[in-house]
Amino acid sequence: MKAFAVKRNSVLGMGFLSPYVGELSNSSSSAKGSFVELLYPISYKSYGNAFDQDFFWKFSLLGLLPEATDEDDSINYYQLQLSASLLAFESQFYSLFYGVGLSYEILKGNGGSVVLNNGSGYSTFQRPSDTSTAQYFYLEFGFISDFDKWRMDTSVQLDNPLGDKRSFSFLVEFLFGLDQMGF
Amino acid sequence: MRKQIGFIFLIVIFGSSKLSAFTLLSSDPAWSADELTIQVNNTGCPVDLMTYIPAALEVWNVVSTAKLKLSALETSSYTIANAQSFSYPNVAVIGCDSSFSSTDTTVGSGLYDYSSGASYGYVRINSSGGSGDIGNYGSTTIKYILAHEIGHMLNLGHSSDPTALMYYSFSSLADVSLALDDIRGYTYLYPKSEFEGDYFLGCGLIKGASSMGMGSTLVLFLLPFLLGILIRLKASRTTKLS
Repeated sequence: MKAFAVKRNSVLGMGFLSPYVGELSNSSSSAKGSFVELLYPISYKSYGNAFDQDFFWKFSLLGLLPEATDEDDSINYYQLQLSASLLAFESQFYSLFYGVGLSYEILKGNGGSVVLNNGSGYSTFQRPSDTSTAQYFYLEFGFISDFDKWRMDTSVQLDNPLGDKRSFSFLVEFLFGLDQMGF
Repeated sequence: MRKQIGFIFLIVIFGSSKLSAFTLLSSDPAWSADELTIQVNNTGCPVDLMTYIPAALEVWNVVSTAKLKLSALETSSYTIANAQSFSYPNVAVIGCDSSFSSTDTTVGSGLYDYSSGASYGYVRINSSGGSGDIGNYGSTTIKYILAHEIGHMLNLGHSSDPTALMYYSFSSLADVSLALDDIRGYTYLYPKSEFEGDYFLGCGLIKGASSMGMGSTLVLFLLPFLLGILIRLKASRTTKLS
C-alpha cells in the first residue's frame, strides 16, 4: 500500500477560490452566477500528528498575483488565511478534513480622486486613502485527493456560519510535496 | 519538477482577477454604528417604498466581511426636505421628492456627508410624475435603483467596473446583486473585526472583546486544538493507569 501523500511533512501549491458562491454578479444585467469570480491562493500546508490525531496547518496568501490592469493600481487587495484542520477519515486515495480558519482581508488605497460618469454628467469621486482590514474566523471542510506525487484539496469555506450574513467560498488547491519539488 | 513550475506559471499568466475600482463620496469616516435603521418616509410616493426597500437592503446585507447591518422602519417623523438640509445627525432617510424637473430622467439620488462628528445620509426618489418618476419602472429596476442609491448613502461613490452595482448605468436587468468590487468597497468602509467587538463566526450571542489583541486572538484560534490535545493526554494517562 502506498504512503498517503497528505502525510508528507509540507506541501506547497496554488489553486482557485471562488468567493460568495451563488451571490455575485459579473454582468451589467446584475444576474447572479455560481462561480463568477476566481481568486488565486498560494498555499503552504504542514502535516502533523499529536496524540494519534492527524492534522495540518495551512497558510494561504491571495492577491499576490497580478490583477487585470484596465484601471490604475490605486487599490490593492490582499487576503491572508491561516487555518488548522483535523483529518476525519483516511483511505488509500482520499481523506476528509474539517477545521477552523482565520482570515485577514486587507484593502489598501493610495488616495486621490477620479472623474466618473454620473449619469447626467461627470463628477469627481474620492479614491480610498487608508488601509482597511476585515478579520474573521471561518469554518472549512473538504477532502484531499491523493495522486501520489501531488494532491488536490477541494474544500468549502463557510463565512459567518452562525449569523444571518452567511456566505461560502469554494476552493480547489493543487499541492506538491516540498520533497518532490527538490526542497 | 518542470511540470510543477509550468503549472504554476500558467496560473500566474491566466490567473489575473479584476482590480478594485470602487470609489467613495467622502473621505471622511462612514457611519459609525454596527446597525443602521433607515427611516423610510413614503409620503407622496407613487409606489410603496417599503415593498422594495427590504430586498434592496438584503443586497448589501449579504456581505459577510462587513460589520454593518441594515434595516428599515417606516416613519413620517423624518422628511426628505429636512434630510437635504442636514437636520438629522446620524439618521439615514429615504423618501420621495416631487421637486425633480419633469424632464429630468434621474430616478433617484443618494448622498452621504460627515460634519462635526456626525453622519448624514439620504436617498431621494423622483416622484415628479415626469420622465424619471419611480412609478414608470418595474419592480426589479426599482429594487436596483434603491440598492444603488443606498450604496451612495453608505458613502460609496460610482465604480468604473461596468458589472458593479455602483456603476452609473445598467442594461436589461435580470436580478439585483453585488459584484466583487461592490463587496470590496463595502468591506473597506465597514470592515468586520471579530477581534474588536464584532460577532464571533456571526453568532449573535458571542462578541469579541473590543480590546482583544493579537496574542489573545492566537490563543482563541488555538484553543480548540489545545483542548483536544489536553483531552487526549488525559485519556492516554487514564488508560496507562488502568
